[in-house]
Amino acid sequence: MLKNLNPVITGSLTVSLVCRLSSMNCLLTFLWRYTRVVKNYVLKRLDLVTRIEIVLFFGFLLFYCLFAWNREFSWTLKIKGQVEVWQKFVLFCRFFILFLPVTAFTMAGKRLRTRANDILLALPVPGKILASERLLDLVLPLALFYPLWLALYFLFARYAALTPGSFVLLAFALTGWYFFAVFTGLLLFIVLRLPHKLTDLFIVVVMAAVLLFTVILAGHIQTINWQWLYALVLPTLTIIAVYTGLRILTATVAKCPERLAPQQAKARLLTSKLLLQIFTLPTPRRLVALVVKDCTFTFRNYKSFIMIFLALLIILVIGIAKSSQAHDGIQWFLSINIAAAWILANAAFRFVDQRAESLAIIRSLPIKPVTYWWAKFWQAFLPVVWLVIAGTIIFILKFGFTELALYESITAILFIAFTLIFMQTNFALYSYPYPRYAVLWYNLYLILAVAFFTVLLSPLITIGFLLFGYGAIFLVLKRINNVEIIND
Amino acid sequence: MIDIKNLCKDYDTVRALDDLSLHIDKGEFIGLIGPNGAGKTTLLKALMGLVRPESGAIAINGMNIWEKPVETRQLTGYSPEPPVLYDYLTGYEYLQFTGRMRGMNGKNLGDRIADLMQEFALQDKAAELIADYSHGMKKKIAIAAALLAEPLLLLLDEPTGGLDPEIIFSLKKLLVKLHGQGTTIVFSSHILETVEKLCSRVVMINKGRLVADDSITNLYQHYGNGATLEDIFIARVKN
Repeated sequence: MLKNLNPVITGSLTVSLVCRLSSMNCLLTFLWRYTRVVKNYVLKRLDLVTRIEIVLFFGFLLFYCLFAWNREFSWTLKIKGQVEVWQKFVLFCRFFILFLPVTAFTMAGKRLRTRANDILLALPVPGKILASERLLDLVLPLALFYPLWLALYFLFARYAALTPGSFVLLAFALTGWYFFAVFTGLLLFIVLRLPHKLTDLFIVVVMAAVLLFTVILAGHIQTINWQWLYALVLPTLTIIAVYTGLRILTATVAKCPERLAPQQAKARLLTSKLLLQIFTLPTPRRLVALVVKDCTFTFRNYKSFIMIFLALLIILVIGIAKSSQAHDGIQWFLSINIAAAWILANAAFRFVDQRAESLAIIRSLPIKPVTYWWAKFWQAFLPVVWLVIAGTIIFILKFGFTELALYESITAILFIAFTLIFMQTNFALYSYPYPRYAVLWYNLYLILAVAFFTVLLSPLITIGFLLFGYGAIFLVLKRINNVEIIND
Repeated sequence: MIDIKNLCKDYDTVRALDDLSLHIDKGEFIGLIGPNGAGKTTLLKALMGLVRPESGAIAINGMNIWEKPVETRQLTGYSPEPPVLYDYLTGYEYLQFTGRMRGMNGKNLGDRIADLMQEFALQDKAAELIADYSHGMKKKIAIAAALLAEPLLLLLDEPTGGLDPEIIFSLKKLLVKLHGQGTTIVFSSHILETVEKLCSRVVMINKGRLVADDSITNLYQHYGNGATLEDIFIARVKN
C-alpha cells in the first residue's frame, strides 16, 4: 500500500515518526517500570479522543515499521546482498544512538524532580554516594534494554562476513556506544540543573559533540575531507564532556548547600535581550516585551531548548540526506520544512510559557489579546524563517538549483510555514489552560497539512483549510479574553 | 470608582458570589474579610476579569470591565494569592516586563523598580530567578508589580500572608501613603487586626453574600464600645 503513495507524504510521515522514536523508546521503558502508573494514567487522566489517538498512532507506527523494514531488507538482501544489509544495520545503529541520549534525558526529567532531589539531599548520606545512586537508578532501566540491543546485533551480524575477532570487537564497541549515549543523556539533564562554573563549558561541549555527530550521520557533506575532524574532535569533546559532567555532578551534590544556592541570571542573556530589543525596534514595545520574555524563557529552560535543537538537527540531517536520494529534491525539501515547522511550533507551544498562570498574568495586564497572539506567533515563526534560510543555503551549496526553483521553493516554504504556525498558534492558544489537548490538533493538523499541500493539492480543500485556519483567530482572541482563570 | 451590581458566580454547583452589589468611591480603603471560601478571591478575580460572572455587572471608573478590558486594567494593579509569577525571570526582569506592558519605559521605569526593590528589601535578590525565591519574596515581587505603575485602583489578595513583620510594617506604611495620595485600595485579609488599623471601611462577605458593609467606626458603634472587629466578624458570620 505504502509503495503506491506519493514519496513526499511517506517521506514526511517518516520524518515525523523518526522524531517520535525517542519518545517511543522512553515509553517502552516507562511501560516496563510503571505499568500500573501508566494504566491508571491512561484510564483515568486521558480523555477518549487522546486514547484513540495513541492507539491509532502506535498501530500505524508498528505497521509502518514492520512493513518498511521487511520490504527494505528483503529487497536489499535479494538485490545487493549481505554486506548491504549489514551497512543498513550500522546506519540504523547510528540513528538509534542519537535517540538514546534523548531518551535518557527525558527519563531523567521525569525521575529527577527538584523536590524529590532536595529530600534526598537532606539525608545524612555522602553526596558522592547519592550522586552514584541517582545515576544507577536512572541507568538501570535503560541497561536492561541493552540485551535487546545486543540481540539485534547478533541477528544482523550473521549477514556480515565478520571474523570472530571483529565480531567481539564490534560487540564491545556497540556496548560502549550504548552506555555512553545513555550516560551522556542522563548527565546532561542532571548537570543542567546544577549551578557550577563548569556548567557552561559542559553544555557547549555536549552541543558541539551532538552537532558533529549529526554531521557524521548525514554522511553526505563531504566536499572537504572531514575524517580528521571526526577522529580527533569527537573523542576530545567526549572526554571533556565526561570529565566536566562528573566534576559538576560530584562537586555540587557533595556540597549540598551550594547545590541549593539560588541561580544567578546569566549576564550574556541580558546582552542577548538587548540585541533582541534593538532588532525589534520598529515593532510595538508591548509586543517586543512579550517576545523578549518568551525568548528569555526558552533560553533559560535548557530542557526545552535542547529538545528543540535536537529535533531541528534530526530533521535537517534527514532532509538533506534524503533529498539527494529522492528523484525530486525540492519536493523533499518542502516536506521536510513542513515537518520542521510543525516540530518547532509544537515544541515552542508545549514547552514555553504554556501554563495557566501565565495567562493569569497576561490577563491582569493592560494588553489586547491580539498583541499576545502575535507575540506567540512570531516566537514560533521566526525560528522557522531562519531554518528556511539555513536549509536553503545548504541546499544551494549541495545541489546548485536554478534560481527560479530556489525562489519558488523559498516562497512556498515561507507561505506554508506562515500558514502552519498561524493555525498552530490558534490551536495552542485555544486549548488554554489545558495545552495537552492541543496535541491531538497538532497531529491531525500535520497530516492535513502534508496531505493538502503535497499530495492532494486540491485547490478547494486547500482554500477551505486556509480559511478555517486563518478565521479561527477570531475565536481564539475571544477565548483568550474570556477563559476563566480559576486555579492559579 | 467601582460599581458592582447583582454579581452572581457559580463554580459547578457551588455559588461563590450570590447577588452581590457594592459601590466603592474613589480614594476609599476597603478591607475585604470573610471566612475561607466566602468568595473574597472570586470577587477580586471578577474585578480583574479573570472569572466571568453568571450575571451582574462590574464597572471601574464608569467603564464595564468586559467591554473595556484594556482601559480598566490600565487603572488597576492586582496582587493575587498565591502570587502568580514567571519562574524563569529574575525579580528585576519581571518588574521590567510588567512595567513595559503598562507602557513604562527607560529611566522612569528603572528608577521606579529600584525604589520598589529598596522598599521591599529585594535589592540583593534582583538578579536571582523567581523560581528560587521564598513564598514571602514572591509575594513581595507580586505586590511590587501591582504598585509599579502607580495605579488608581489596587486589588490586593491577602497581601501580608508570608511576609516578615518588618516588610508588613513597610507595606502598611506604603498603603497608608498611597491611600493618602488618593489611590483606591481593596485589601482582602484574614488578619482582622491589620484591617482594623488600615481600612476606612469593612466589607464582610460570607457564602458569596454581603453580610456587612460599613465604616469601622459605625460598626463599633453598632456593636457597643467593647466589641472588636473579631467579635463583629464572628457575630456576622454566625448570623
